[in-house]
Amino acid sequence: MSIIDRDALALRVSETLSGRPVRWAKNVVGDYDGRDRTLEVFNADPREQRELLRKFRLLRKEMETAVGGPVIVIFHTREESARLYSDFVTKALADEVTGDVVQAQRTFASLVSVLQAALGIDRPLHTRATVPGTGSTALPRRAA
Amino acid sequence: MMRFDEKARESLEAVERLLVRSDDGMSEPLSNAAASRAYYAAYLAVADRAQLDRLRFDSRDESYYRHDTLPDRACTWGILSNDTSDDLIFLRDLRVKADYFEDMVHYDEASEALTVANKLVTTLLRGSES
Repeated sequence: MSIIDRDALALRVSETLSGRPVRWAKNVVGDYDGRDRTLEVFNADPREQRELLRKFRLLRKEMETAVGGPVIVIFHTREESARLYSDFVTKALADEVTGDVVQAQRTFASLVSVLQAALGIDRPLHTRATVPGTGSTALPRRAA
Repeated sequence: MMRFDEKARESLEAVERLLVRSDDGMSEPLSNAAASRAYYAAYLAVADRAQLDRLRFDSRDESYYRHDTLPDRACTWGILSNDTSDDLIFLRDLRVKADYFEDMVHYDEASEALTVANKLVTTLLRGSES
């Protein structure tokens, strides 16, 4: 499975887990069964983790088929996310906000198009093809 | 066939001791060690049941039950239900964090691990005494 596909899966998990930053673990020290199939979920406090696991259950089988085996899920508490992983968490949250802004801009542009069509003002401006303008932007002189 | 029931019970008792917080402040909880041992308590209880059923170890050298696949396999074998399989997954993944990540396991996580492991060990070893 390509890195892009794995990243897309991580993004889906993030969406399922209420937008929490998620990534595949890299360069983990030591070895354990499932080391190359470890998913990190950030900003997940102890009291939230069991519920998040229940939500993840909906994706588990599909994920495991895609990555070729059981997925290990590591929950990082908010405190540890800030202490140890602030660079990643900050960037992930910023990217999410940027994505929201881009989406909002698209929605706005689409609404403007609909509104223009409804009001009949969605026609392009007419361009003169034959008689060119003077090119002068100066205001006309007032007669003395 | 090997029995792991006594080691499962001992691991559980170890978790309880590791999480003790004394009033005089002389003893602080050791949450990372407790989380790791809580998983092994549950793992050993499942392994004990699997050995009683003469199920072979499935690691490459056939010396243990693989940790990543055991929750699913134990479900297939009828040792765990879907819910208790999830419990074992929770314990397994917390143990990975405790042993391989820089994070410090929170006391509440380790305490939850003790509750979950206690339930699993008690249920699995009931009726399978040596």
